[in-house]
Amino acid sequence: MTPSPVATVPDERTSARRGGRTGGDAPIGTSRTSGYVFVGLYVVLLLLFGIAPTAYAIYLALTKVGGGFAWGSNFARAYDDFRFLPAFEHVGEYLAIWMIAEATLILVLALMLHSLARRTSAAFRFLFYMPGALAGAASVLVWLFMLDPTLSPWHLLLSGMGFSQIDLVLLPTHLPFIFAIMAFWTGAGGWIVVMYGALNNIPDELLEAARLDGANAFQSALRIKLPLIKKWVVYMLILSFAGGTQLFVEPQLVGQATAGLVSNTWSPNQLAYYIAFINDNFNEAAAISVSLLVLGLAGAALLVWRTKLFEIS
Amino acid sequence: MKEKESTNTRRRRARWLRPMRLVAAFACLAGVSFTGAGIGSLGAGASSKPTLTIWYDTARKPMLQAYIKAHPDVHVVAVLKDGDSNGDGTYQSAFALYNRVGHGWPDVYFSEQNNDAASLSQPPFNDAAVLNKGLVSKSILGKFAHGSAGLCTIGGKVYCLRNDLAMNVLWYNPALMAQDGITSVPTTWQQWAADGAMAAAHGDIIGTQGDSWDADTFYWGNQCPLSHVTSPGVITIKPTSTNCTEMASLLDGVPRTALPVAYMFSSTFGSQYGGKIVFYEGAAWMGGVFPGLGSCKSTNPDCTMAAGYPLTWGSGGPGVTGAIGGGLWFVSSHSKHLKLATAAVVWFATNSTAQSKLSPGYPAYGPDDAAYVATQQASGNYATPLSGAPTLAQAFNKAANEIWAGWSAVPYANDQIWASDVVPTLASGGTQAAGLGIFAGDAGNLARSDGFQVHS
Amino acid sequence: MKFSRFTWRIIGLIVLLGFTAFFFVPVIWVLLATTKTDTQLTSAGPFAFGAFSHVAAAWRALFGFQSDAMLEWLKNSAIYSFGGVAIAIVAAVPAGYGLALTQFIGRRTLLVITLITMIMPATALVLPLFLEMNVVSLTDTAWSVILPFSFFPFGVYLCYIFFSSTIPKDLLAAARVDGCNEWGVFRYIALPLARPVVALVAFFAFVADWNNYYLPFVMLSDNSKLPVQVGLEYLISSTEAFNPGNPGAGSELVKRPELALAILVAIAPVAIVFLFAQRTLVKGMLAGATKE
Repeated sequence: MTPSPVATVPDERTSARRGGRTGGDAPIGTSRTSGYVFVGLYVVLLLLFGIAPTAYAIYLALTKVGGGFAWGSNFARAYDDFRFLPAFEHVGEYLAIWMIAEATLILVLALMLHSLARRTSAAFRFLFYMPGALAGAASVLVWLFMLDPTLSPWHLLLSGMGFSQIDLVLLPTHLPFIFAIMAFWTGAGGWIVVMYGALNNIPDELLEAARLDGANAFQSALRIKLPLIKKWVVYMLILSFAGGTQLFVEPQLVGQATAGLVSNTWSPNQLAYYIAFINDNFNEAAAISVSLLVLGLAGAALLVWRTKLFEIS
Repeated sequence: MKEKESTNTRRRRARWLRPMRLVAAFACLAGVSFTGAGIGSLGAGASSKPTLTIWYDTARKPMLQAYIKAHPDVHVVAVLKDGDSNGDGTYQSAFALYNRVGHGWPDVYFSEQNNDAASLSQPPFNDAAVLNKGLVSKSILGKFAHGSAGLCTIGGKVYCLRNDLAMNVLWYNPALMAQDGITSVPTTWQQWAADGAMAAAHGDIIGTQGDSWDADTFYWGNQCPLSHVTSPGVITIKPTSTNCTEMASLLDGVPRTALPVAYMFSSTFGSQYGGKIVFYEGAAWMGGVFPGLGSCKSTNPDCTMAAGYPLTWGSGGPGVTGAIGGGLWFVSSHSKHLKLATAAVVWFATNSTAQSKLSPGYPAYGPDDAAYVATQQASGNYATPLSGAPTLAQAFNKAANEIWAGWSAVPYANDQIWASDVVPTLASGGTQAAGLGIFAGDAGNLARSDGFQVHS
Repeated sequence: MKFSRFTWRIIGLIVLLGFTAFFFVPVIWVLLATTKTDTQLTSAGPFAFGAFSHVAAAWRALFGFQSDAMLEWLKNSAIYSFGGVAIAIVAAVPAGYGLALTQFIGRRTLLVITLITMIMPATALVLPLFLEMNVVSLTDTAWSVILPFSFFPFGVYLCYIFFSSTIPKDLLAAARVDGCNEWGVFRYIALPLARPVVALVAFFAFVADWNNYYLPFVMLSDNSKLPVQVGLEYLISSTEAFNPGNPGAGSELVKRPELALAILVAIAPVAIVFLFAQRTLVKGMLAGATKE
């Protein structure tokens, strides 16, 4: 375990932590009930808009359309659907590109910004973040313009690759890459802001000390900065993985705006939407959604367990 | 300690109140502002009048406004939707929710998605009302173009009224024809394909094959059974039928430069092909589109087209044609004012002013056709037909009654399949013949997952 | 790799500029697109400047669409977003604090459940949310959007991570030893120190709410209640270039420059909020808070 940046109170806390869920000996002055008060309003909202709908969705996945338990049959039907496997292949490719870009580029950019003077980095942050302000329809629209060789500022690049019209840009094999670029363009800015903020919370004394010890920028980044923002990085990876498996907006809207060049069941989440709303089969759709949930949770569990995200350190 | 606490308590309360006050303020705003009339209600509200909720799209707005003006005794709540375009399933999503809570359906809705007729009338949605069993008179129904009700009719029941027909005619450009040395307007597919070589020699095109509606033009127009519901729950998708294969080879034989893989509404199309379209077998509503493409200016004689009779297969071939689009008016079976809603729908589909002046498409209702054509001719968007070739009215009229009834509405969207599966193949150099197989495969799968028995 | 510091600096600068271009050139393109007519978009170059008169024309066409629908949509977006953010902050900040710095039964369970609900695909939650709102007759009202917006687990996690990794524990211990009860610790010690994360959560909540398309689309059927994101959808379907099956759609004068302008108008509030929030968003402020 890397040392925490501030001195920790010896040891009521550590023993409390090892005590597990019941908390063991509570720290001085903490009453058990005060915790409940703090989370009270949130828990109400969580019940209404988180737990209840999720439980209902899981219930739907396990029941038949008319009622009555269906156990695994919704899942079986969903997995058998001819669009199911291709959809997961598409998203798998997308995820590979997206996660790698996220894990590396965002951190690199945040670290670089952190080493600049405050005003300069503020300017860059604003520029990087601007696309993040566009979401959904707006960003897809912008990208439809960007990918169209006749209008795009990148037309030299596009025609250089042999694409003279948008049909050729949106060929099926290119789609995972294109959606990854779009997702990066809209999403990276926000995470860069978060990582930058996290980096800024590292006390200057530590960085000074490292510098005095002879650490260069790389070593400072790898050995000091990154470990200290580990929780934020893990959080970003969890959400990106889960979010990536649930890709919906980009393929859906590109499909709509190009009269169908991208299928409206390209990703698993789109397939779930189609089955729910166009076939009016919420049960089978819920089975797909629950599968996506399990997938996302598996990724999260792995990350949380490996990095001990839930410990109070 | 005590004084400190009281100040602290006061400050504490004040801090908590701030966000609470914000929330309360928004509650007020939210409540007050939504009782005002916005674009949601286009008519004067009075509680004694019956209320009709109508879902429309932007292109129908002029008709809607005319209806409201003509019917001051009806309180219309007009809601803008997207016409369920491109197979989005806007209406299906809405109805799936409303069916579960028991309220929310509109009384009247317009759709430009042909398969809505199949999807919204049958289980599980069960919303579209049956119009030919008492609601709309036989005499009115009989005046619609022959075959126009095909898409709306399932099992003998008519579930919607056609707003306009988008039957395919052969658009031709007399000026370009002269330039390219083509002396007569083709009447058969074979002649049209042969003209491709002449057109290509001059850098002109005789059509495109990269649109989502290719199948509607080429295969529907040759009676190829790719979407033929023979009885409820049974569909024939037979790409090996001669009607399909012969058309595919014909298309594959036309030089690509004359029949490019391009998409009419893409941004490249206007600048690349705007003034170069010699022929185009396409929908009646395209007439107004050609003059506006790319460098063409409206009423530029070089870009205006005239309409010829739809192409037939061989000179003795049957007079059939396909169609691309055309709108549908529905009455919801959940409506509390069935008669009023039906009357509204009948008004939209048959009213002479609405259909001839305010609607961009060719009226499906026969008696309005002449007035519509007159309005179109006056717009200056059309070229003068060559001598010996039919007039606009003749071409439209013949085509309107020749729409092949063997292309049925299905709950899934054929054009979506074509666009996402076949067009990319064509764009990378594939053939129409290969495209047929791909289309049939995916359409068959979709049909099966929608519960159809598929015959190939 | 032994490059000199100077070389690394140059490489770094190139990388930064490259990414800046990647992120920002599209935005510039959109800005310039509003100054051109639809044909100029393809005929003039992507960086050509048209004329301000075109912007004015696009503005008129956009705001005239459907009798000033755009203004109505913007107002609705503001109401839903501010409402959602206000409640979300009031719920999330104390919750993050409680999860990070207090002990109670179910603390870890709460964290796990929060994560689960965040990872649940939204498509699956649409129907139950709709049914819930219907039970209390709130569908097609502002509350059907504001209330679900105020459930912001992402913000709770941000606060949780912040409070658990940034607040110096000895500071809290000292306060507790001084006799402060838990509420006092939160109110007087943690909260003032937490201004950056509160700003961060408020900002992200605002952006998420302002940009949310799906929830308002499902809950609201009355056109006058739509937020700007859903309205943008209708604009797209009214643009002939994007919706060819709808002949006559172009009659409402929505061409691509108007769409570009609509995009800018739709994101302007977020851009403005970000500009102002930048200052408080990322300040590090623990310097001097603890004696070590």
